[in-house]
Amino acid sequence: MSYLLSRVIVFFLLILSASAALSADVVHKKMTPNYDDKASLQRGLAIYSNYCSGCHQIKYVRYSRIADDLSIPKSLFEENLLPKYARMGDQITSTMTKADAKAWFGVIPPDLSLEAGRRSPDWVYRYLQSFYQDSSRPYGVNNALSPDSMMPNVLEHLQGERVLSCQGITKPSGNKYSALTNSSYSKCDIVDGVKKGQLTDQEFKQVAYDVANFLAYASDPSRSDRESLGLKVLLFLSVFVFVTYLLKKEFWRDIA
Amino acid sequence: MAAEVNKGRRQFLIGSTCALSAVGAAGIATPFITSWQPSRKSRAAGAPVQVDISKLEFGQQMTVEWQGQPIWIVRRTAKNLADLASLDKQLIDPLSNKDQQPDYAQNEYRSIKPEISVLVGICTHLGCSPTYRPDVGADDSDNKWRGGFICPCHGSRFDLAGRAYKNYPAQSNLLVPPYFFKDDTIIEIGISQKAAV
Amino acid sequence: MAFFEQLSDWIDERFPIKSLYKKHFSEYYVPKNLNFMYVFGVLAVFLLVNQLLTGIWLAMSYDPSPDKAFASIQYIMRDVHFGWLIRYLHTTGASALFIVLYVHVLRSLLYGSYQKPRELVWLFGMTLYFIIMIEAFLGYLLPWGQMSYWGAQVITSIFGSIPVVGVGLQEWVRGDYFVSGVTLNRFYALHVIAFPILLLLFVFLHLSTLRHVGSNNPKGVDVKKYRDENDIPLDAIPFHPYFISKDIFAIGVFLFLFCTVVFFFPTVGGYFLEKANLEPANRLYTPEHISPLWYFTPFYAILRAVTFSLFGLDAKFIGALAMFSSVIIPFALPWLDKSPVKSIRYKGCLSKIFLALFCLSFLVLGVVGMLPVSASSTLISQVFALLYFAYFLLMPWYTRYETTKPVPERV
Repeated sequence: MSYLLSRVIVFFLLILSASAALSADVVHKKMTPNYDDKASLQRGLAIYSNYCSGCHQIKYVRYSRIADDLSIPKSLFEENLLPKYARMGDQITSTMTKADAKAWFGVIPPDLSLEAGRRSPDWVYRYLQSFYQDSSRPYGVNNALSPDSMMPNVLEHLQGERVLSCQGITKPSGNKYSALTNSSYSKCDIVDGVKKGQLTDQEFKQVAYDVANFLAYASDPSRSDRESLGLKVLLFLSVFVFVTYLLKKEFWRDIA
Repeated sequence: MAAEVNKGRRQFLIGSTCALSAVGAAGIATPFITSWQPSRKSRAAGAPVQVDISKLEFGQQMTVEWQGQPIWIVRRTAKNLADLASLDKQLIDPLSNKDQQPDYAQNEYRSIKPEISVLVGICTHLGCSPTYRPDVGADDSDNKWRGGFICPCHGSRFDLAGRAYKNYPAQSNLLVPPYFFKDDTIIEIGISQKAAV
Repeated sequence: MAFFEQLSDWIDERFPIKSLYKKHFSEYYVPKNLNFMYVFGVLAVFLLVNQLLTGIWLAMSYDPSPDKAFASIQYIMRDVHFGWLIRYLHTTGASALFIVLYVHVLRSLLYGSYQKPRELVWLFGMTLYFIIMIEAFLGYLLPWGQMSYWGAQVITSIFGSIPVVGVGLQEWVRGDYFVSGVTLNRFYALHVIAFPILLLLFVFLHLSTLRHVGSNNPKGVDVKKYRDENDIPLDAIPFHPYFISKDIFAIGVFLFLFCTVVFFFPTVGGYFLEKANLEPANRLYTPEHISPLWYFTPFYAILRAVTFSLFGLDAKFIGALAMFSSVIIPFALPWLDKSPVKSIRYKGCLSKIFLALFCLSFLVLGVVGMLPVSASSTLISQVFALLYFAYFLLMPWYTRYETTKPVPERV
């Protein structure tokens, strides 16, 4: 019963946020995390393991917790997702040392356990879609959402090359846009480049969604528990308020 | 003041408010009490451990840690195993009737494989860790000692299957932890075969 | 039954529970016309208990060292059973306590609850508020996130603005040249031991002075003046069961709202828990926009409103003085109000206008204090800071000048 109710509430919240998103932006820049979409979370985990975990860590999350929360059987998880050096109860750290990271990227790739909470799931969703070719950058790509980001576009073979196309701004030589300020980015669009990726735009959006959804879960893993318990608590409190209201009324009938 | 008071209604409302408050108080207490359970971190640290026993010689004992407790693994000799049966009269619970071991270790050797004994090295008297004394006659004058464990704190005695001797402080056999053989040389301690699958 | 009677008699001879029960519950007479604004005191006590309990439980898993503090919060949120609930109760409780206190104080301003004979109730109450502000500030450093760190950095820097002794004082407060592990450790000790004890002491003083003089009421009349043949006040009713039942109902309603926040919107979009605090403290890099939590922003806006030097004193110091005065000046309220009546219902037009402007200035300053500094925000905060102080400083004049309405004899 409470499960159903929570679904209903979540559904209405979804409609609310979806309508807000639609009115604000038509080009799918907003995403609403859905912790009940286990398939999406599992895909997000798979992409995370394949593309992100080499450099980033999610050190506050444990393998066993993910297996529990994403309904992945322990044995399956151990065989396919658990690195050789780790145990199920371990926290998820990357194998790269800080010194190596400094040498290769100039920065230490941030821990992603809290990234979706610190920024927002939307931000992650958009960040993954905002890479474009920029030959002036060390890895040949730049990011419109976070200019001069040091991260290479690890999903490029899926997404294909993208280029920045700006209205009213003459294209500087060498395809260099890094001097653009944040406000001038608003005049720019990221469009498909020459080299196509393995996925269609729609499929790639789904990939970005799954990663953002997974990181949103990683930053707030107790949300499902919280909301289902919260519903029971609120139901109890409504009964409590009702009865105590009657009691108060009953006593105060004495007072003229 | 209003003339008439509906006493029944008033009593009922007082009663329901008290009952609901009690339920509420219990509800509030639950997370506080539950939060004292071992956390996910402690559970992760106390997860089952794998031990390689390929280098363990006959008559040798090794100690590993599981959930902060010493776990002994002893490879008993044929002589040791033969001695076990002869000790029954001196022991408190020679047939291991008391629930101090998993079902699969409730046999004369208190183990899955006769020669390999796996025990929790904590005295069942007051929690000290006994010492391994394998030598026959190592301890007493009348040469009855057939090897086992003696607790340094209060002198409790156990044989090589962890069974407690009579007339000493400890009144029950040493615990056998859940374990199973992953293969011939790897023991997984902390989990039974069934639960692991 | 006889057993319980005997037991209570036995205890009563050694500790007077029966007379205490009569004095504080069954025969403690409370004005019968108290409205809903009078439940916020009980709610504050309720929240204080919540803070104490959840605080004790958080301290069991928290690690007050710079290397581990941030991670231990995540340990509480993810690994400890119901750790997330206990922490969200604590963080939501802190903000809720300030909401409740602001309504509680507004009630006093409306009905003149600080006036004779309740001056001490007011003074102890304001001291409590001051202690709770410091307690909240100390606690905010503990998660050791970016906001915690830079918030503490900014506020402790205020000490540095004091002429002559400033820099020494600032180092003394921090125990180091910057906000460091030493600072974290002492803030932790103060937050979990020293200030809670002080708080309990002042709660006791606040409540015992209140119980001695009795509650005020929305009409501001003395309900103890007219008594029946048994010497029982005519316009007052016993605390038990009438106000007990009312308070329980109020707690129920409050809990419903409180739990809605705790379980469904624990961060309240960054107002109760700031996003930047999800990044560990880094003393080499300040986050883009730092502001204190919402309950401090009115005073923070006053601090930032001063952008000019005066009498050869640094603007920074005058700003600090202005902020400090804005917290201290309400202490003088019982002696600033010269009105012959207590309640706003019988005060004149000027009192109503100034109180309305005061509330408005508090809200506006609160909003401005959250925004990044701009030329217009500085001007706005200067204007409303003046209004804030005008309420207090002009009070002796307008309360004497205006004509009041006659106060009824009875409730």
